[in-house]
Amino acid sequence: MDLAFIIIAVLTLASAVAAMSLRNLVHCALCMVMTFAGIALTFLQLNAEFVGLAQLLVYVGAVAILIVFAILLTRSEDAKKEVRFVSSSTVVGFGVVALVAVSLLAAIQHTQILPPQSVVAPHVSVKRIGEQLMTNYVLPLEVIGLLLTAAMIGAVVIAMREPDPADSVDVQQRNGSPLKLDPDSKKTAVVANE
Amino acid sequence: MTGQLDQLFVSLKQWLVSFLPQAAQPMAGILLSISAIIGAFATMFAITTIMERKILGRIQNRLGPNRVGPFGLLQPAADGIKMLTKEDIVPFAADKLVHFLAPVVLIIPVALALAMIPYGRNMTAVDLDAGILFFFAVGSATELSVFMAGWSSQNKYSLVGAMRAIAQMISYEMPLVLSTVSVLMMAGTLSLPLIVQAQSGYIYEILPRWNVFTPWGLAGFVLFMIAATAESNRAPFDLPEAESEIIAGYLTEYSGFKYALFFMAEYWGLFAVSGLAVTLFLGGWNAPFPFLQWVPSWAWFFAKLGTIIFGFIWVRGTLPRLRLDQLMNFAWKFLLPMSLINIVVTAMWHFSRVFQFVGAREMRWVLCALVLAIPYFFLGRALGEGRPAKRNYKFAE
Amino acid sequence: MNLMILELAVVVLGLGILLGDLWTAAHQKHLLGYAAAALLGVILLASFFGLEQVGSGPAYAFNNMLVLDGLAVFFKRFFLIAAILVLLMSVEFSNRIQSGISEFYCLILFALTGMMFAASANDFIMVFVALELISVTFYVLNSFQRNRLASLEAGIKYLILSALSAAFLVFGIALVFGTTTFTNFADIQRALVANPALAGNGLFLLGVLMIIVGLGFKIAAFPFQIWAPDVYQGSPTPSTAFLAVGSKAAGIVLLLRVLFVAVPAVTQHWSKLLIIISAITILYGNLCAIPQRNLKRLLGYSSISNAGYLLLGFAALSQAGKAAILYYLAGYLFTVVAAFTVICLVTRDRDSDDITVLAGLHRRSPLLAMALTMAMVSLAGIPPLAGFFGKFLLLKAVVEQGATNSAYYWLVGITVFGVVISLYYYFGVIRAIYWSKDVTDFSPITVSWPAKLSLVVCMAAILYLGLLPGKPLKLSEDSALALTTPVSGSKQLFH
Repeated sequence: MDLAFIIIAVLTLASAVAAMSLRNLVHCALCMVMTFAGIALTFLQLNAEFVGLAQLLVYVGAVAILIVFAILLTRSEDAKKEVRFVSSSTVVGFGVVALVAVSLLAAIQHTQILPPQSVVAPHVSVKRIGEQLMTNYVLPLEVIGLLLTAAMIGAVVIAMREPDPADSVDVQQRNGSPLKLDPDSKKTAVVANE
Repeated sequence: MTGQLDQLFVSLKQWLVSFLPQAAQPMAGILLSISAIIGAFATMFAITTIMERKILGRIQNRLGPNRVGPFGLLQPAADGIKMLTKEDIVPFAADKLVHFLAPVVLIIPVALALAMIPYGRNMTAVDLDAGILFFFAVGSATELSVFMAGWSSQNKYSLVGAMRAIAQMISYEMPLVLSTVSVLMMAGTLSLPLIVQAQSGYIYEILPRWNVFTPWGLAGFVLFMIAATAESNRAPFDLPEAESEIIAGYLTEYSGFKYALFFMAEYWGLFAVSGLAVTLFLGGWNAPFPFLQWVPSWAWFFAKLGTIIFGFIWVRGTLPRLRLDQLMNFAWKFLLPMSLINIVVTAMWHFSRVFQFVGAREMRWVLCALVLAIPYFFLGRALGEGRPAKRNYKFAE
Repeated sequence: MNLMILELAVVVLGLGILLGDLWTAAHQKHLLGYAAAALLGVILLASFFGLEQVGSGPAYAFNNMLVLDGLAVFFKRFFLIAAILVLLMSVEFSNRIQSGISEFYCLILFALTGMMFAASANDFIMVFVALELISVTFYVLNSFQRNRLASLEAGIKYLILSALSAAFLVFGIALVFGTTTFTNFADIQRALVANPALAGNGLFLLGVLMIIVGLGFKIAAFPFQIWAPDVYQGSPTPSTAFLAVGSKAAGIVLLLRVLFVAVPAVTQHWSKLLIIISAITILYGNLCAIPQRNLKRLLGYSSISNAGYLLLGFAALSQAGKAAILYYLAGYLFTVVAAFTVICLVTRDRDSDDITVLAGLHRRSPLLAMALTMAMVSLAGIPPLAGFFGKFLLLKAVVEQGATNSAYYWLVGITVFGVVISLYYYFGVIRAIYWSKDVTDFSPITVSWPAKLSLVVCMAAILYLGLLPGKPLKLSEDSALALTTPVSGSKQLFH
């Protein structure tokens, strides 16, 4: 365990704790970014270059900005409302955390220490990752493409502006025309419904 | 002799490092490279500011700074002293810590990005296997710093500026990254020195093998430069700092040395992204013609870098600022599809390599250029269609 | 490539619906649902011709990531039928979705693709990717009525809890990969055989446990069931139906594969765990359902108790148990879809899903009343309907194991107790239909002929599965055989 690892680990954990406990949401978000960056650094330190950089690119570059945008665009006036720190959910949360931690520790305790592997971890180049993705793992990759398409359609659908019912007759007809309109349009509405 | 001149800085570093004990040598080498980069680019920053003001002056039919020193060349020094001695004003309502951290967070990733660029033969400070990924990874952190600056100032102009800047940077990051993909496809590597190496050599013993001289490379270069202009918030994409609308955007509440840091980081970002353009499209440190190879490689790199920066200044002097909706439409409806098409064209170029008859290269060129030109025409027309009618200004004019 | 031709067809159909939306007039867009359902029917028919050639034995593809065996084919057809019925239901629902109905159909098809990939997943990476495809589409499907607060709440709740469970799943997969260096089921099984000490390795066991947690969320088994009632209540009715049938069955098929193909040695030791989970799930679902007045919420709790019944088959650890799971699922599909279709039609002109909307349904529409009655009776497990025979098979499988462990008798007792409780609330629904005192609305409910068809099909299937169990039982037994044959992985169709 070298010094760099200790520094990174302490920073990561401290910012993770801060991200949970600070009052100001933006501060929380910034602390979380630090956590992400710390995790990326850990990956880099383990020589997992590609994973580390991808973590940096995706989490610090995209996810953090998304969170920040979400905070700024949805901030309500009562953001400063007093938050109760000890509630039933806190207790349950800590309980779950403790359970997971204890079972993890127990599992590690019960694992026989494997003989130290003499094989040095191979240097995984970006090229090899790409080759693997295009050969052995091509199907999951394609399914992820489908997943992203679905997510994009979903995002558009949920964020889409509703067509204004006043100037779109089609929508009224499909909605069964709850508005009291002139008799003619009501007739068409019933027809469309059937 | 030419070889020695070419490797001047490399040998200098080795010579300096050799005085130290064996164990400290790698660390010292890294530190030396870093300080060299920081020193070189700080100087270049000073030169660029004065040159920019002079060139802009010429474009606008005036002289530009000419009072301090011969031809006004000492102007940057005067500016620097002014910045350092100015009072550092922090707004009362500001989030002090975040306000302080924002310029720091900005300058570090930019400096890290500069370390990736191959400045000459054997002159890459950090040679990573996934260099270009690193470049974009640290580059994405700049958006965060812009947000920190805008939000912590607790000022609506700052916040509006920051939101504009982030929206713009995210939108243009897509075409920026996608336009580099074609280069990566052809070079088959993410390492910047290897990309430069892939562009060495000459066609017919005279024409350089730079990416920009292929149809996909040309299109990619243009797309990359447009996106890079937007990424570095320069005119005509300088909406985040549009002084006539929102004072100075996220920089409004900054003064003194912090402002100088922002200013410098912006220019360093410009150098970094220009350096990347040189590396990816303009052959890096390769000489344009075989008979010019006696000129040191780093000189070629900096000459190309200077040319690109001159281009940036020229564009700034001549083009008016875009409107926000134009900015977004341009990124999502034009640049993004074009960069995707460019990737397809790259694949076409790659697979048509099997044709070996005389004139095959020229034929491929024309074919690929056509595939690019047709969507360019239609996308451009579609972009123009949604244009709002000419507005009548009641009080202006 | 031949192995995923069905999935490809569904994806192409989904994209085709999106494109078709461009050239369809706004008031006709909801009709695209009929087109999608009809084409899915064609795909379903095609599956009876195209896949027979591999019916002889399991075929593997993509570096053993996909497997096509009897189980996969069974579940693929299951999901296709579910999607067809849900699409027909969505058309009836289209007047409550303001815009983007074709996207709704498209997302159902994408979720279907995820489920079909899950049906033939033979690798943990594939498991994760397929489950995520299902989850992501359901985030959207659940919050599709974004003007209704309840729908958005359902979407958010599902999003958060699903993401949490996915985290457990990935952590588990990472631990299993770390201890075995494999993600492929067959490889893991071989590693377990070659190195029996692995089954005692703490980290490996924890990994398997976390994977079960992730899958347990999908089927709403006991400690991970909290989301089900809220999400079922808030989501648009077709989404709820698809969630109750498709998503749950996807979780079941993955659990079957993980427990009986990847880590059979571990499963043998964990029968107690499965018994406990199953018992608590049955009790929780049935007890909490008693006070419910909201129809969809009631079905949410009912779905939890059904997860418990399905887990009986896992706990039995026998071939009969696995076959019973498949049989029960088939009955469950038609029963639940019939119930939700009726709810969808009855609540068409109203905002509430309260049980009182059923008042006088037998006069407003005898067909709907009959279908809902049959569904409730079947869910309650009364002969001669599908639900009864399914439960009978499950209990039989458990009783057969009773000789090995007396805990199985306790499990049978608890199950019977749960079934008795469930009679109360299922018959509450039937009482609301026929014996409500204050009936105010006598307007007849018009039911379009595709909806009628789908209801008639459901009722016929419920009756068939209950009265003539011979053939379908044989089919589910044959399909479950895939979980016993030693995995060879030699037959490589596509690499």
